[in-house]
Amino acid sequence: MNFSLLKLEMATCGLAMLVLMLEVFVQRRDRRFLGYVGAAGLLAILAWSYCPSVTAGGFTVGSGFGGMWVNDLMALYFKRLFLVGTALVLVMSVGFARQLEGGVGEFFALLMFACTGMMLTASVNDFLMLFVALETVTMSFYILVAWLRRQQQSLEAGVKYLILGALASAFLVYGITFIYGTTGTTGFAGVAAFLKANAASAPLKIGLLLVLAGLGFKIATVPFQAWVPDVYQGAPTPVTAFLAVGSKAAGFVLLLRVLFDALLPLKPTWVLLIGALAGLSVLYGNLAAMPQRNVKRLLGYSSISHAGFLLLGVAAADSFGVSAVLFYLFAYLFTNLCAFTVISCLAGTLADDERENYAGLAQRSPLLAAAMTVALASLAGVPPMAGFFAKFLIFAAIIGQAKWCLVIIGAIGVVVSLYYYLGVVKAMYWQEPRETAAIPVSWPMKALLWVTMLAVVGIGVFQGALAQRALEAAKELIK
Amino acid sequence: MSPEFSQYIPIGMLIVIAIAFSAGLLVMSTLMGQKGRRPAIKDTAYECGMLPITPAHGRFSVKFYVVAMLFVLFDIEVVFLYPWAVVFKSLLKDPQTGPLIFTSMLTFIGILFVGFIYALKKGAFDWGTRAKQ
Repeated sequence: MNFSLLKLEMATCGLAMLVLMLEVFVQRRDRRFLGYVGAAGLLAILAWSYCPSVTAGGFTVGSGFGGMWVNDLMALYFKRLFLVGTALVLVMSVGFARQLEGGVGEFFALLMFACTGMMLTASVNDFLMLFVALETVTMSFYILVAWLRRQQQSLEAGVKYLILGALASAFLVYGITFIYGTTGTTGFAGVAAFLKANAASAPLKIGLLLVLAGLGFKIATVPFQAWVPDVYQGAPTPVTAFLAVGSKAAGFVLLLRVLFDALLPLKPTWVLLIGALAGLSVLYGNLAAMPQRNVKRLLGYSSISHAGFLLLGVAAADSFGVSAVLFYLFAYLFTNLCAFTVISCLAGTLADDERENYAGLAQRSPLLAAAMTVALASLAGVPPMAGFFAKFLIFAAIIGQAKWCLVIIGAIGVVVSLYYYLGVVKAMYWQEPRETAAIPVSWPMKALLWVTMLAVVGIGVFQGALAQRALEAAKELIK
Repeated sequence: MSPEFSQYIPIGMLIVIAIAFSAGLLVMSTLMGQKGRRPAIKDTAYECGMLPITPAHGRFSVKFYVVAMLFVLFDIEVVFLYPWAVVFKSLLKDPQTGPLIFTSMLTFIGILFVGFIYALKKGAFDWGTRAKQ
């Protein structure tokens, strides 16, 4: 029993509790500084995760708690991703705080509790632990999505997310009972050993399918995507951003662990399944995004198509494909946060997120328009943005596996996506604005925009270091 | 009769006695009791003294909701504490499990305590006075 394996999670959870306590004890009307406290704390934990005592010497790297928990390079990779993402979302929430009713301190604390849950998912090595970690994330999101409780859209999003999320959790836990009933164990290693020794029986297959359905809800892949557009549109913008980058990455790390640890003996079967889901998600997400006029909804459909691209990397099923997925998630994180920061900066000024309101944004705020353009170009995969290299790696991986059908579907998806992403760019630069008043952007938001923009371009240009780390992490998953 | 079934004989007897007792009381009260007036309300279902049929959207204070939620939370705490209290004496003696079982429960109670302080400071326990923000 080695509690030092958990110290990053314990620190994050402690930080969230500290913010909660500051919220009730500090007598200050403006509580927005709590967001900065949280972001600074998370960045400190991120820096701590680079300490030699954490990364080397077997101090924190290893497995424990009866095999339920594994801390390897991939876990660390994802934990850093969650820490970076949450810190940036916290800064974004500070800028969004005027739109938030009720306590902002609780909002920040819940974001960090969700982050703790995501970090737990990165180290899961057991189906029970998987359920607990995933529920920690989802429970926090149920509250966050419905935070603007006086707005009908947010409430609607909250109810939809709650009911579909509960349904997905029910699928998941039902599947776990089948797995436990047939194999007699919940550990990934135990399930893999069972599958190696015995043929998979029908109840076990049902259980595994149900678990995959539960995870499919998290990563928003077809056919579990129905909640995405409505929830993305209705939720407070920082929460939408966090759903898109954090919740999706948490779903993917669990999917990778389940597929490559527990279900490795069934690889020939699930490669087909994941490939089919990937193709469907790419096609559905991109085609359904085309008629969208609401930018948040559009990013919701784009999130489905990106889940498809990520699944293409999983369907390649080798260490290169997995490393492409890991790289993609980091590129997607900065890209999406950049786009959603723009949307959240506009939340106080524009009536809603319809594309017509973005007309002539370049004249009203050149910085916002430029940031949105960078983000959309990266989402579409235009060089030299981070999204380009991420898609390049994914395509290289599936071409390496000679899955030509998936390559063609992916290429169609990329071409189609250019249409609707550039439609927004066109509105921002080549349409006349309805109003001409300049849109004020506070300096923390400006800083956040610059950081995410530079990260998107920087990862795209200097992709070597990150790709290297992703490959190291992926090689540890696939021995 | 197999021993598995014979151990349920007392339960079967209990069921029979319960039915007989309540049926007996009803029969006795109809035979021996006083016959008073019998207005319509006496024939309605008895529901703890409340009217059984009222508008569905009754209003009640939101405080009940908070109290119910806090009750569930701290009830769960006891659910965890009970099995812990049963085994902790024997596990504490073992140096391998001793610190673990102690720190685990301490962590759990600690996290819950933070929540308790939060609820307290937000005025969730102030029933009479206006809740502080």
